[in-house]
Amino acid sequence: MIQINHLHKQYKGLNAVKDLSLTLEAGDIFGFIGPNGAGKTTTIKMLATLLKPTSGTAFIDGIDVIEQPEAVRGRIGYMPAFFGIYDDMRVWEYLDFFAGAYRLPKNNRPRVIDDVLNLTDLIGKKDNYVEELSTGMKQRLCLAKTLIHDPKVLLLDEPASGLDPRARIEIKELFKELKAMGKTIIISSHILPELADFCNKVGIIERGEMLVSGDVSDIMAQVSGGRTLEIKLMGDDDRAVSLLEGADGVLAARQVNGHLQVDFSGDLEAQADLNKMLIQSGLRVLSFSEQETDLEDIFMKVTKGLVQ
Amino acid sequence: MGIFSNNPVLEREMRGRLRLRRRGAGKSFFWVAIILTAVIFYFYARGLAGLFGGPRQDAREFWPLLSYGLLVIIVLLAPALTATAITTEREQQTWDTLTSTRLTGSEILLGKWLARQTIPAVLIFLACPYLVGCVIRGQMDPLLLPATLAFLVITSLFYGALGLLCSYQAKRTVAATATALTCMAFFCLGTSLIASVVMILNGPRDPAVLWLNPFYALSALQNLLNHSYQMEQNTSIVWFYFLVVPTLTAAMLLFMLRRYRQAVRG
Ligand SMILES: Nc1ncnc2c1ncn2[C@@H]1O[C@H](COP(=O)(O)OP(=O)(O)OP(=O)(O)O)[C@@H](O)[C@H]1O
Ligand SMILES: [Mg+2]
Repeated sequence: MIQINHLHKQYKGLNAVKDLSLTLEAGDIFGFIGPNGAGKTTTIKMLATLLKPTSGTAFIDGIDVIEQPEAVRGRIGYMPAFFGIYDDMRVWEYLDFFAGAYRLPKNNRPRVIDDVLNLTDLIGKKDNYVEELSTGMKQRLCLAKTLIHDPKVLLLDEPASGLDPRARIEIKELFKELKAMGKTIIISSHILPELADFCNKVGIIERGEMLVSGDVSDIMAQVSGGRTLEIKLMGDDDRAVSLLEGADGVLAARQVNGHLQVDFSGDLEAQADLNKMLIQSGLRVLSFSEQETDLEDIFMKVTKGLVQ
Repeated sequence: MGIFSNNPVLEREMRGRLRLRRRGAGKSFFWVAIILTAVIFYFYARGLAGLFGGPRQDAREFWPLLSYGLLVIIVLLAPALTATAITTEREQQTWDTLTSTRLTGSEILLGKWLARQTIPAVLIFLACPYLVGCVIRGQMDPLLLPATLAFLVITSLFYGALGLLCSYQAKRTVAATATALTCMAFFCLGTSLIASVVMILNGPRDPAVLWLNPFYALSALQNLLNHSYQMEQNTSIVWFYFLVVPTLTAAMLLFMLRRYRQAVRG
């Protein structure tokens, strides 16, 4: 659905995006993660046909973003990180304006407007003036505008910034609904947990370079170089460490406040054997578990080296 | 879909121009507005009646007052109205949202340009009965009416395009408005200043730089149709103005459309 090949953007001497390539299938939810100034907005704007790449190509739904921007615009919904809303209009007038801007037939518009207002839970505000909405409602209205022409691809630049925790959860629910509708979504953020539960792919970008990208599970394996096991024993920790260090697949073992942490590169078979070995050696195992590696850890690991 | 029909930008901007009050203003405001309109209409009608019923000389003297008055308002209003068109969208961060839709550059730019001519157009329209009255009562050349109207319209479109260009190029509304009004002042006052310097140095003949001055051109047009002096030169000035000003207008608009396409590739 989205294909980016060696995309490059230069601003007067500054390389904002360097050699970025990415392929997304229909229905993918791609979390685009990076610190401030990494190049997320620049990349998204190039996909939204608002910025011309210095070099490289990008295709959305098979259409060249640079050669046929008009055709691409009908297929994408773009929500900028910072946006204003014409506040001298009522909510439905605002949506009607964009329905016209996307060339929706006039007799269809009332139905479509009601649909997107229902989806974004703003139907009760239909006749209010836009300036009477709260920040969270404006965010949802902007999303409603982004959905008005039923685009296949959504480009959402930090859609949850400026929202309170409750509104964040609400907007996350909305993304899950969009995911269920089969949209392909690129969503940028610097806050990782925000993306973790509904992205199936992530990419981490820093200083214009995509450091890693791919399936969430693959990246976890790739970055952590295996798993971390947490083992709790009834005493005998020192003996256990020396035993573990000699075992297959164990990269390192250490004692961490009352339990053992083992960096492990073996498969599940090997992991089970490791547990068996401990018990057979007479050690009393209280618990044996795999530590959850979340996106946050990956992010810290990947970006750490380069930030300093 | 086109620039005129079903153009959401044009519709939105027109509505914005014509909507006198939005909300918040209560019933009292509504009544004040009605009474005010009635009073204005009364004086408007009385003035018109006075013009038709009054002496011929009054009508003749009123004509320049009205036509130059309209010109002053237009050269001030037209650029000021369009100079805010694009910079406010940039400042309110609505420009990206607008340009990422399927609207074309001409729909956006020409839509804004034309919609923001609404107020000058309404003023010209309201002045029309008076202009007609002056021509009929003052027994002036009937050609004076369409010629002056055409003159005002192309002037308004020109200064509108000038303001829009400033708005397109500038980052801030303040800068755009200041630049637009400075350019306007150059055409309306600067040209006269340059001309007087040139005349001091080179003798009494009017230098060509004055031909771009709308007030000078309007006086040439009216002198021509009143059959007063310097017929040949006035003819050239009028031709020059009617050819060069629309050409410059078109050039500015084309320049913007080209820039827009290069930037956004729409
Ligand atoms: N119009 C511009 N002119 C010059 N440099 C720019 C411009 N826009 C962005 N940059 C630079 O490009 C780099 C990438 O910026 P970008 O806005 O894409 O980052 P980002 O990942 O979206 O950051 P943030 O998380 O802060 O939004 C930055 O170094 C920025 O200074
Ligand atoms: Mg950004």
